[in-house]
Parts: sequence; structure tokens; C-alpha cells
Amino acid sequence: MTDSSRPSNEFLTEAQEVIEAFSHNLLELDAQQRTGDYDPDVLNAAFRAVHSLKGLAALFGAGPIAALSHALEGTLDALRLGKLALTPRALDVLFECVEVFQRLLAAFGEGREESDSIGPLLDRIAALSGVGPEPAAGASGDTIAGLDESILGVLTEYEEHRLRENIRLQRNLYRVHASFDLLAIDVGIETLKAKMKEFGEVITYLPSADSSSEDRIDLDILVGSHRPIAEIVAGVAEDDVTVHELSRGRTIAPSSPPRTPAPTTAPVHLEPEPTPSVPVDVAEEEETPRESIDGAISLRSLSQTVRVDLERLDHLMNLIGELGVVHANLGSTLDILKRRAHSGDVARDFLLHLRAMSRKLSLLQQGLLDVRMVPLGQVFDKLARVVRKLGRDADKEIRLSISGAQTELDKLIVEELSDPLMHMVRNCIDHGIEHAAEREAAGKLAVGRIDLRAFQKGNRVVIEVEDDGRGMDWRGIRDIALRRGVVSATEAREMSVAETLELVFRPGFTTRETATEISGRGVGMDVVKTNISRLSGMIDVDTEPGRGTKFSITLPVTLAIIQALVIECAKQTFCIPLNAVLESIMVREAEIATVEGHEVISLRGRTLPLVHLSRLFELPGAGGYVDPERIYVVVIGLAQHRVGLVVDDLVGQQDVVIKPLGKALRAVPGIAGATELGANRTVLLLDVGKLVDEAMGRAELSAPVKIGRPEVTDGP
Amino acid sequence: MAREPGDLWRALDRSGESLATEEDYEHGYKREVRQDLERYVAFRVGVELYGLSIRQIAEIAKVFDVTPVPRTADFVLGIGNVRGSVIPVIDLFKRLRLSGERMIGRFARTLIVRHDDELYGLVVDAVIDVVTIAPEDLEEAPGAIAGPRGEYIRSLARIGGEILIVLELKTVLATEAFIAPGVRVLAKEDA
Repeated sequence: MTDSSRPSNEFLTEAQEVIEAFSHNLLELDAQQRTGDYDPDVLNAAFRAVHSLKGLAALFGAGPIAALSHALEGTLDALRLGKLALTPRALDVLFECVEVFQRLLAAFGEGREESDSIGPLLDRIAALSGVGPEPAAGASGDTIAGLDESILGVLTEYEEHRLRENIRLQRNLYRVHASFDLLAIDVGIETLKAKMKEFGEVITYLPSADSSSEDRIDLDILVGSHRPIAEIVAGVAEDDVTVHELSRGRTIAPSSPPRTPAPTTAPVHLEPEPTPSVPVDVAEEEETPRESIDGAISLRSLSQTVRVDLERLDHLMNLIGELGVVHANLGSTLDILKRRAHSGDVARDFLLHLRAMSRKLSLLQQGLLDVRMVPLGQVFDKLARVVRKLGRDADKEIRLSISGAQTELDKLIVEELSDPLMHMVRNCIDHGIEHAAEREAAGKLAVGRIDLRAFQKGNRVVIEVEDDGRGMDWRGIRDIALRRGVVSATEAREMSVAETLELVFRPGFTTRETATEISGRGVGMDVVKTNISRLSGMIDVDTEPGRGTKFSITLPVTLAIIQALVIECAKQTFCIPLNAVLESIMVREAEIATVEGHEVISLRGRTLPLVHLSRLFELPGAGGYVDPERIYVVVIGLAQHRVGLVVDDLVGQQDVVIKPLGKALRAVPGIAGATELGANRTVLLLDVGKLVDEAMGRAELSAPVKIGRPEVTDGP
Repeated sequence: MAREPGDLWRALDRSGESLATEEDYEHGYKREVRQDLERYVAFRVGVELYGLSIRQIAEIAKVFDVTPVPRTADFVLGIGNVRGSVIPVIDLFKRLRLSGERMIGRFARTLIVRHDDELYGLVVDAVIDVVTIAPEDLEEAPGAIAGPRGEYIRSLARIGGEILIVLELKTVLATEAFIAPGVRVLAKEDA
């Protein structure tokens, strides 16, 4: 990475975040808009996001992004001022902007000009504004004429719009008078604001004309709410707060007597300048208190987060891994030291320090892993957009419910997950969820439902994608598999439902031509499975015809550092991820039986097929057993598939940092990555999922009755 | 070797360019001396002389230990660790399907090359020199040489009476060649 590319990298990540925030706002608005009423704060946030994107893009010379955000900013401003109605059509255009922003950003990142011009989109944005302001229903000047002139005179255009909106929604207007200690005003206002939000909308803050003392500030807050005055009084009950209802002019103060300025307050010497008492003066200062509060808050949040390139974290992770190697080397030095005469005291000290180091090292490792964790919410937001768009395209109304968006996973895994999840959600919409008419005929709600759930389970994270559609027809899948020669007639007869469903994950298995008739899924599900297993995860499917389908993905929390079992085979060293190792056992050659030419052993009453790592990998010099009385078998497996891997020796367990193999060797089946052990030794990490699949496939392959397996092209 | 980079006048003469004039400076434009001369690392594999642009080479290292990787093609020696990252190391002699006497010995080196944003190690018999070659001195590989090995040749240059073969890394390091023939490959990442 060259230095010149850095500013644009910063731009990319920051712009990406802004766009994601914008998209999140839109999704919220979309959900709220359906209930008929939306939170103006969210619209404001969207406006601010686009505004900062515009500034960023201009700064880094991303012309098209700046142009688009400029146009969009105008539209959002019109929306928040009520000059434009927030219709589903307007939202469609806004959502389209998110997609285009992302395309433009990607293009900018790769340093190429985005070929498709943003012209048509700009036209659509302009067309939205062309619709003209929606007549503000019933909000004539008369309705607000009854209000105090001193308030109306100082409202900004936006605030006036919100005021009209509140009147249109037939909310009561309240004027909440509060007095704050000058020193605690930040906190005071925030607390009060939060309380008010529960009741309605804060339209504006006005510094009050009648301030009681110099070290206090009095504010009038204009609030719109459906609730009666008594409820609001009860809710905001606090000293120094009074509530007036504007239309009726009733005033209720909390029962407690007004308090004099807190005696604990340190004396503040202000210049003896009189508090503004004329409305005109107030108008000028009207924005200031709020601005400064907002400013303080955003500054604070900025100083608490640091954006870090993932590469830098990887570098730190590597260093920690290498420290681990140093640690191991120190351990062996200690062993040498112990063997020397008269080294007792020194060795004891050494051991003590070594233990302390090991503790700190694992804390350091854990700390760095925590830094890499990001919430799944990022991906879920993206999926929500897809659901909205695809649902519309397919003319199906779908409700997406998300839970566990705060569940954290390694950043790398989260990134890699987005495609498979996208694919699964697409399947839910295309094949799972029926059209409204069909659903109603089946006695279901017309609106389809997709549940996206994430939760932690031990040191793994489970993600579930569930729909309430028509489910998968396992008989249909079996018939297609049979017709296509994926399975033989005998096989088909003997297959369990679960085994049949597994067929959709087979490469090359597709129900494409007949997908709509038999509700088959599985187009590209093998790719999903491959991607998931590359992340050391597994995927399961569960379906009930007519009721829906559930896919569950189980993933490790991180891939960066894992516990591994170190083994030796044909004088080479390999690592096996410990989470895939069920147990390690030692058997004698006499215990090995043969079933249809396959070696098996009996383990606690169950038959366990054996595979020899040396034969699987055709390792040089692989021969018989080192010691026929002591054969090491590592029982590996995922879910119900287990295999005994025959190896020459078990070396031990170790935390290892996984390093990718690079493009050229990534595709080598059965190898998941590499890692460093002590003494600068690079060691391969086995891909257990793949090896188990292979062992199973091999077993099937040579079974006598199996025929017509076109997709199997294994070597000898 | 063939040409001294300092031999400016000759280079200018050949390329038909002139030195910057006062006028050029007045216009704020300084004509650079040939920007397109490229430096190549020349190395020997078997009896042949090969070259790679110096921009493609990250480092020249002594031959280091590698860990063999099963199920890979015969030319893949294995993986090695270069400053914390794991890189594939290949034997160029086998990759180029050369035959004949091997001169591998204490002069052997591993060229660490950067291709497609990743590092690879290429074991060569000896590194000879760094030479400067102008683009007009490079010839397209004549079709006749092509045969099975032609795809690895990007261009040819004549260096002191010997032919230097500039390698095409795109084909030499084609990822699909790394897996041993007959091994089933994972489904492609993005379908």
C-alpha cells in the first residue's frame, strides 16, 4: 500500500460508514412510514448523513458522489421541511441512491470512472421535487396564529414546519419551562430531552426571557404530544420544571416547591450582563445553546473511536503469534536450564516469569481479538435493503424481523458472510414465500415473514434465516435428483428426509427448470455451503412443507487465532482445528475391521470409518504403521458425520494464528491455511469439513450399487 | 552489460528526442530523459537466461526451507515464510518444463515476486545481473518458439550476444496450474 492511496482509503471507509448510516435511517423511516407517522429525528439524521457525505466527497474529489449527494441533500431538506411528502415512491428513489452510492464508491476506490452515469437517477430525484409541495392539510396560518407571537417570531423554517405538523396531527402543544444550573446544563437538557421524547416531539428550545438568577439558564421548550397535560407533568416531574398547555393556558407545577440554586454549586462569576429580555435578541441566540450541546456530544463520541485498517490488526495479530513462538522457545530453554546442575533458583524464577508472560500474552491476544469484533447489524441492514427491493420486484409483501443484530463476530467473517446470507434471503423470497393470494388460501397471513436471528452459543455464533413460506418439498427434490442421475433408484428409496435435503448443497444440483412448480431451492446452495465451510462453519436446513424453512449457520467467533491439535504424519507436521476434533484415541491393528473394503473400528458401539491422512494426501514414504500396537486415531467430525483420521503421532495442543495460503493454493482441497510453530516452521492446517466430506464421498463412491454420479470427479 | 544508462546522447539520438531547451523551462515544462527504459533482473535457469522487470521483484533471497503442500503440482516446492506472510514457492526449472543439466547449487536464489497483489517465491539457478532495456529492443516472441512453452514468454531481448527471455508472470503463476492434476477443486468462490 502506497502512501498516496491513504487519504482515499480513509475516505472510502468513512464514506462507507456514512452511507451505511444513511441506509439504516432509511430502513427505519420505511418501517415507520408504513404506520403513517415517522420520527422527524431520523429524517434529520439522514439529511445530516448525506450532508457530510457531500462534504467528504467534495474534499476527496469524488465528483459523481458529491453531485448525487448534493441533489439528494436538496430532496431530504424538502422532505424534512414538509415541502415533499415521504411517500413509498420517494423512499424507493432514496434506496436506489444507497445502491448507486455504493457502486460509485466502489468505482472510486478502484480508481475507475463509474461507467453508468448518474444522470437518470438525478432526473428521478428532480422529478420527486417536481411533484410540488403537498398541501399541508389544515395547517393554515390561522391554526398557529393563536400562539404567542414571541414564539412564532423566532422559529426557523424547519421548526415552523414541525409545529404545523404537530398541529395537523392534532397533538396538544405544551410549553415546558425549565431552569438549569449553568454548570449542569448539558446533562440537564439531555435528560429532559430524553424524557420528553417519550411523550412526543420537541419542536424547539427557546431561552426564556425571565431568568431567575445569573448562574442559571431558563429555557422554554415547545413540545407536541398526544398525551394529556397531567401525564406529561408526571413524566417530567422534576424541580424547576413547569408545564403549560398552550391552547388552554393551564399551568401545572410539580408539587414540590421550587428550589433555590443548589448550594453545592461553585460560585461562578459572570459578567453582569442582563439576560436577554426582548424577543429579537432571543432570535439571534436561539440556535446557540442547542448547537453547542450537539457539538460537545459529537466531539466526545469522535474521540472515543478510532478507525483502524484491518491489515494493521492482522500485523499485530501476527506479532502476537510470533511472541507465542518466542514464548514456546523460552519454554524449551527453561527445560535445558533445569537439566544443568545448580540451576534450581534461577529455573524457578524463570518459570515464574514465563507463567506471568503467558498470562499476559493470552490477555493481549484476547484484547486484540475483541478489537476485531464487529456487530452483525452491518450485514443485516444490507439484507433488509435486499428484502425490501426483491420483495417489491417479486410483488410479495414481506416483513423482515431481525434479532441479535448486536451479536459480534470477527470483522473478516462478517464481510465474508454477506454474500451467502444474501443468497439465502434471495432464495427465501424467490422460492419460499408464496404470493399473497396463495398464502391466504393456505390460511396464512398475506404478508410473508422472514426472520433473521443471530445469537451466541458457547464460543460459536449461530445465524438463522427462517421463512414462513411453502417449505421444501423433499419428495420433489428426491425425484429431481433421481431424474438427473444424482442418486440411484436404490439410493433414493433408502434416503432419509434429512439426507434428501442435504442434496441441495451438492455441487451441480439444481432444480432450475422446475423450481417454481416444486418449490425447489438449491440453486447455488453449494456455493453458500462452500463459503460457509471456508469460514470453518456449517450449515443445516430444516423444513416443514407448508410451514416454512429454516437454515442455520454455525460459525466460530473468530478465525484469527484458534486452538489446534498438532499431529505428525509421514514425518510432516499438520494442525487440526481443535473445535473439529471430538477425541483422540489409540487402537491396535487387531481392532481394525474391514467392511466392504473400508477400514473401520468400533467405538463405543458405533462403527467409525477410518481414513489414513498419509494415503489421502499421498504423502511420500507412507507405509504401514509405525507401531501396530499404538495407532493414533483422531476422531474428527461436524454434526453427525464422523471419521477417524489415522496419523503417526500426536504432538500436542497449541494456540495458532492462521495465515491464508494465497490465491494460488487456496483451492487445494483439504487444506484450510497455514500457521507458524516454533523454530520458524510453517505448518499446514487441515480443512476438516472437506476431509470428512471426501471420506464420506469416497465411501459412497466405491459402494457396489451406486451408479450415475456425474459430479464426482475425484482422482484415484 | 549491454548499455550504460549514462549514455544519454546516444539514447537521445536514437529516440529522436532532444535535450530540454530554455524555452521548455520557460514554459515550466522539463522534458525528462527517457522515462521508458526499464530495468530487468537477469537470471539463469538451466542453460537459459531469463529476465523479470525489477518492478515485479520484491526481494532476492537465499533459498530457504519450505513446507511441502500435498495435492499440488510437481513444480510447487511448498510454502515458506517471508517476513510473516506465507507464500508459495515454486521451482522455475520444473515450471518451465526445462530439461537437461541442472546447475542448481550455492548460487541458487529465491526471487520473491509480486504478482496480482500477492507474493510468490521463484527458485532460480543463479541471479546474473540487472540490465536496462529500452522497449524498442524487446521483440515479441516469434510464433515459432511458441510450442508448449511459448505461453510463458512475454518478449525477448538480446543481451551481449545471448537471448534474454522476459517471463510472463500471468501464465507462469496461473493459479489453476498449482493444483495437482486430478484433484477436485473447490467450487469457485463467486458464482
